[in-house]
Amino acid sequence: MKRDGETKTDKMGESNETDLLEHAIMKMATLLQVGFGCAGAEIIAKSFKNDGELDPMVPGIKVHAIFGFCDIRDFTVATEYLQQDVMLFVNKMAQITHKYVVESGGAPNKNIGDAFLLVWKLYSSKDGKRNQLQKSLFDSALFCVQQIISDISQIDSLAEITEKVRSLSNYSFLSFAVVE
Amino acid sequence: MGFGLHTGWAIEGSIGSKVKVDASYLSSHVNLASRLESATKQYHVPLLMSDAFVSGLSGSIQSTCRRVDRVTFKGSTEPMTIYYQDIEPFHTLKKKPVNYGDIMTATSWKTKEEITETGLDLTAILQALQSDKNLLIRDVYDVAFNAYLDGQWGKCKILLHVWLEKFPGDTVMQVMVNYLMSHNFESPVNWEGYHALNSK
Repeated sequence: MKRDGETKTDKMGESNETDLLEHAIMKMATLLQVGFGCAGAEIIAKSFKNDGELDPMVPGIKVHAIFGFCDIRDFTVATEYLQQDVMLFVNKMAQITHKYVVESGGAPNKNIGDAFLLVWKLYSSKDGKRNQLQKSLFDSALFCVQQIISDISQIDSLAEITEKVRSLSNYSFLSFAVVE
Repeated sequence: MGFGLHTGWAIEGSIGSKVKVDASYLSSHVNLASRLESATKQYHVPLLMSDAFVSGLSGSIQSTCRRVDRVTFKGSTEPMTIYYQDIEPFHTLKKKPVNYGDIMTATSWKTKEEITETGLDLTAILQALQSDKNLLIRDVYDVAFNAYLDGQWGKCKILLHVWLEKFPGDTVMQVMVNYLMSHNFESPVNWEGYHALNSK
């Protein structure tokens, strides 16, 4: 791993290749990790047959869980108003949401445009045993959601945008009513 | 941002084909969480919880949640009590709705008999609301909410009036007043303690 002392000769090419390979593997792993999510990767892993081929034609697993559904208000108006910057807006929200959900023992499952499905798994039919922390998981899930709500309302730049969007959407609602 | 919290079973698995798969949860319970979220817009609260979720909470936290309504969601006939947890104390709910004047006029009473008929001890209720003791205030809320469920909407009307006089910005009770107003404060003959929500 000592690079400083190396001369810029043929050795460089060799280490470059390994570096590139390492880099590529890292990228692939990260892509898999964020694409499916930690919990999602585990679920999808069950669809791989022994020979390594993907086969989604397998039965699912019955689980008991807490489901949190969250959605950004007036998202279409926000997109109209923010244009390209809508990504920064929605991802700031996602960052806060995902952080608290993971901290509280849950997992973000799906991002459907402006909505997120959050899952706190209690127990599944496979392991049969109930999560030891089941009782406190309900409390944690509620605490998590309240923290997200309060954090988002306290970040000025976000609050400003939500306020602006709200006034725009009220306005468009009113003008629509008049036209009708 | 709006949130819906619910609990139940679901089938966990990968959905898709060899070309594209996603980890997913399938069940009516996931849809219900989404319906709860959707209903937050109607009640002007950031969060709604199902009764199944609330009964999973520990007792001390359960007591900080309040009933918002009892409804059936689209695609279901099973009535469900829905809950909200206030983060701010009631006395901070000051923002008057646009139709505040109309609400207060519609809920006011003409004669003292109107109150005695309901069997309410108005002096005690006003005292409780003025006390700033959360437990007493919650009692008033529960009396009002039970009157709503029981179809005693005349009684509920009086309680809503004094409640909104004290906490004008309570959107949950504003929504209830608007609903009762649309029925002239008389419960429908076939009232069974819940109504249907049509939000998707």
